[in-house]
Amino acid sequence: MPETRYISESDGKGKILNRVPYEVSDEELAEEKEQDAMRKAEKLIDAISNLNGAKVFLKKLVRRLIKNGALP
Amino acid sequence: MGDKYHSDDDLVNHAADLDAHTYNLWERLQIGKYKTYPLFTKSGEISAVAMGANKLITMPLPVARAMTLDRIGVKFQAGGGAGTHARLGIYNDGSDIYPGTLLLDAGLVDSSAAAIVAITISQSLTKGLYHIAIISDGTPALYRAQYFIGMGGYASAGNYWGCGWEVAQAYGALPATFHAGAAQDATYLRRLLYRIASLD
Repeated sequence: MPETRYISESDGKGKILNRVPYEVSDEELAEEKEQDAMRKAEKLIDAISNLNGAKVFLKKLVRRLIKNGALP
Repeated sequence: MGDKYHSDDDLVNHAADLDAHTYNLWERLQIGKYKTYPLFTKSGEISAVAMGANKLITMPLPVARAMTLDRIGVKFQAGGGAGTHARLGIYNDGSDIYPGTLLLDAGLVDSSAAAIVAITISQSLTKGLYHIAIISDGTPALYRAQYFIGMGGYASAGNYWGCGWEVAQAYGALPATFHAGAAQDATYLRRLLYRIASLD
C-alpha cells in the first residue's frame, strides 16, 4: 500500500508553515526496504571486519606478552 | 543562385527568431514541484551517506533561464541527532565551477529526523550557474546520486566529473564568500532540493 508522508515547510527560523502530503509508491517503499537491508548488511560486514581486526590485535598482543615472559 | 542558408534575409529572420536555433531543453521546467540536480537520473541514485558536522557542502544548480524559486530543501535519509539543525542557502558561481559570493542564507531546518524539510523563500535567479549549500551541526544522512553529466573535470580517480564541493566551516550563518580550498565531491553528488515558483 502506498504511504502518505509530509514535507515540512518552514520559515527558516524554526516555525513550520505547511505540512505538504506526498505519496510514497509501493515501488519506492520496496526500494527503501532494499536500501535499509543493504545498509544493515554493510554494517554487519564492517562489524565482522572489526572483529577480525580485534582478533589480529589480540593475537599480536598475546605473542608479545609470551615473548616478554609475561605469560606462561 | 544565392546561398540558401546565408542570405541577408535569412540572417534577419534568424535574428528575429533566435530561439529556434538555440533552443535549450533545460529551459522547460515544471513549476510548483520539488526538484534536485537537473542533470540527474533516478537510476543514478545510490544509498545515502552521513554528512559531517560543520561541513559546508554544495550541489551545483545550472539555471537555463530566469526563474523564481519559492522553496529550498533537503531530504534526510536519516536524522542527524536530537536537537540538530541544518542551514540552507545559495551561492553565486565564482570561477571555474566553484562557489563564490553568498546569494541567499535561507535559514535553518530541523535535521533531527528522516524527512523532507524545506524553507519558504522568494529568490529570483537569472540564467547561469549557482550552488545550493547545506551545513549542519549534526550528522544527518543525505541521499546521493551519480552525476549524469559532468561540469567538473576528471577527479584524481579518472572516472568521475565532480562538481559538488565540501569545506570545513563552523555551523552558523553561511559565510559571505565560499571558502577557498574545498574538496571536490568527486564521486557522488549530495542531493539538495528546490522548487520553482515561476519561469520569468
